[in-house]
Amino acid sequence: MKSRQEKNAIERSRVAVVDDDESVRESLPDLLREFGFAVHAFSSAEEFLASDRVGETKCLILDVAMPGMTGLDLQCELKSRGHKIPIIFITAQKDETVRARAFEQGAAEFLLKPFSDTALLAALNTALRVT
Amino acid sequence: MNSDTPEIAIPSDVLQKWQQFIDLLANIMHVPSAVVCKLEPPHYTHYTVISSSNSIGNPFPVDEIFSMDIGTFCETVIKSRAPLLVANGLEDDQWKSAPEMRVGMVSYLGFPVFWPDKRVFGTICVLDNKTNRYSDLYQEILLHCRDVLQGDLQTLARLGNELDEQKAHLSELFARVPEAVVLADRDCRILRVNPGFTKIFGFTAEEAIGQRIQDLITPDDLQEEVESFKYRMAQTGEVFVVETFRKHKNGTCVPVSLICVPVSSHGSGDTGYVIYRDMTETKRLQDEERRYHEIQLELAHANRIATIGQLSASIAHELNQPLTGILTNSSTCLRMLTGDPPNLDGARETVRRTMRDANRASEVITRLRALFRKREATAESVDLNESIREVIELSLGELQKSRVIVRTELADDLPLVTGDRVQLQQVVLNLLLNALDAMIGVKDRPRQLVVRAERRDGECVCVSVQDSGVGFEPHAVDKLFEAFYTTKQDGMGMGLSVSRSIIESHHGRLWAVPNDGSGATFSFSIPCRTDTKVQ
Repeated sequence: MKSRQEKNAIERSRVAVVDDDESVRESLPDLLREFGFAVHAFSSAEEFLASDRVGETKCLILDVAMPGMTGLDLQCELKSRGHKIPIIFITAQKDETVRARAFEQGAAEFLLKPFSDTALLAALNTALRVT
Repeated sequence: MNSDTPEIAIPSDVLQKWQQFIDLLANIMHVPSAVVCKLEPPHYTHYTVISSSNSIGNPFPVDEIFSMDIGTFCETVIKSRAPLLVANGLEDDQWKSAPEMRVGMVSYLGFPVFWPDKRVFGTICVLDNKTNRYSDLYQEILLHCRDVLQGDLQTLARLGNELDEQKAHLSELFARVPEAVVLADRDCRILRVNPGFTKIFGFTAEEAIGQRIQDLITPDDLQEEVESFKYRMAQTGEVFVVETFRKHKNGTCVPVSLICVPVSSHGSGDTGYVIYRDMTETKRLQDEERRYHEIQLELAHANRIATIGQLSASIAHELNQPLTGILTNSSTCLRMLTGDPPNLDGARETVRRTMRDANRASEVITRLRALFRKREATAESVDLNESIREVIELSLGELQKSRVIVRTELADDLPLVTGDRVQLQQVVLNLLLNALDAMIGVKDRPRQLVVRAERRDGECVCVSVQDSGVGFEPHAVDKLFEAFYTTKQDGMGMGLSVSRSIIESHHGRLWAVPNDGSGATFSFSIPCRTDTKVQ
């Protein structure tokens, strides 16, 4: 079974999901758990920063447009705090300048919603290989 | 006597009639002279012979003037306002030195002739070169002639009064009409202007009279126009109206509606009235209305562009969120079911979430529909021909840029429809721009656009836009009008859906058919003169 192989490959990696949209916060962690990750979901950048999960997070799946701190803001903030967490951006809005800036700031991958499970898995592989 | 009363001239036809009378009188009464005299205003110091019989021995020619202080028979009649009979002046001390004696007229019978207001007009009299007692019968004839004369004077006075009244009305009209009125001769030299002329063009009557119209108020670049007007006035003698421009004394341009009225005095079109109506205010209002409408239309146009850009982004965002949920939940579900052992509880939960997200997506679309329906529609009379022309004019830039040839077939007798002009124009614009998009890739044939408007089945107006573009598959016809259905790379699939809802709110329908050749024709029809309110 493919999922088992995947599980073995990236066992116990901790992934954080930050998105203000509830349905993403509900569905994405389940899928990631199916992939074998340990997952925590946060509804805002601020919530994530305030939590004690920042240090142990191996990969961050981050929404771009959120009320308050945006995904790009969080990316900057983490960088300035010295956290080198690989980030996979997810967004419902196609915007080339945002995408370009995200990569400039070191994003691992940039996914347009809705995305397939294989695209997500590929992005995770890329992100975790970067580390 | 009242010297204020305006003098009434005796017309030639009346004089001619009096002449015949006098001739007859002299003949019947066997006298050498029968005369009608007229006391001359304004000073009444003399009288004139105005009719005198053509008889042998008559010493008084027409137009002979007699002073009122020389003691003639007529002078006496005029002063006494009474008849006078002198059988033989030579035998009468009072008359033997009267002026008539010196020309051999010794006897006299005369009656005063009165105006209807009892002023003395003059006399009618007969004179003889011998003693003449003028029988009662003769006196009666002369009196009768006098009454005829007075009857004529009555008629003349009445006509004169009417004429005076008309003249007064005309003068008042001339003075008070807000239009500029100019009376000009054949060379357009100004004979008379009214106060309206001064008000509109700034020139006083003194400054204007004697000048040629074209030197005074015609702009240099319109001089040729004046020549054509002159020709038209002289040749046809018809009244005509022209919208043009004239210039004010201060150099500013005045839009005018100009009416030329050739006046044929004595049958020749020598003079004419030119009437100028100042159209400045009318033009300003028209421009304002036009501008207002243009802005509305531009907004509608900009709206469409903005709609595609901004709305598609926000709609994409709104829809992509639940779609992400659906896709992710489905993937998870599949993985849970194919696991060993399958995680049925988890799968159930993901399916539940999938359904919820699908509902959420459908709500987005419902909200979107409401958004497009939000604008308050107005119900006014709409001339679709005019509306179509405006839309084409507005899109001309885009049409030319895309090298599209536009042809319009707009029926002249198109009835008005009731509806929201801007909404209907938005539909036409949508169809036009769709047609344009459909022809962008066409290289092997002319890019042709035909816009038609015609009456259908007596009660409907049908507008169609036919293109020579890529057309559509017959089976796609149902999808065309669905929201978010699009064949364009950057299209949102809203145009036709919105257009259809607009047309349906006008109680009409919108449909599409593939052409026999290449391209497609999109048409809508709406009832003419609907009284029902647009929703």
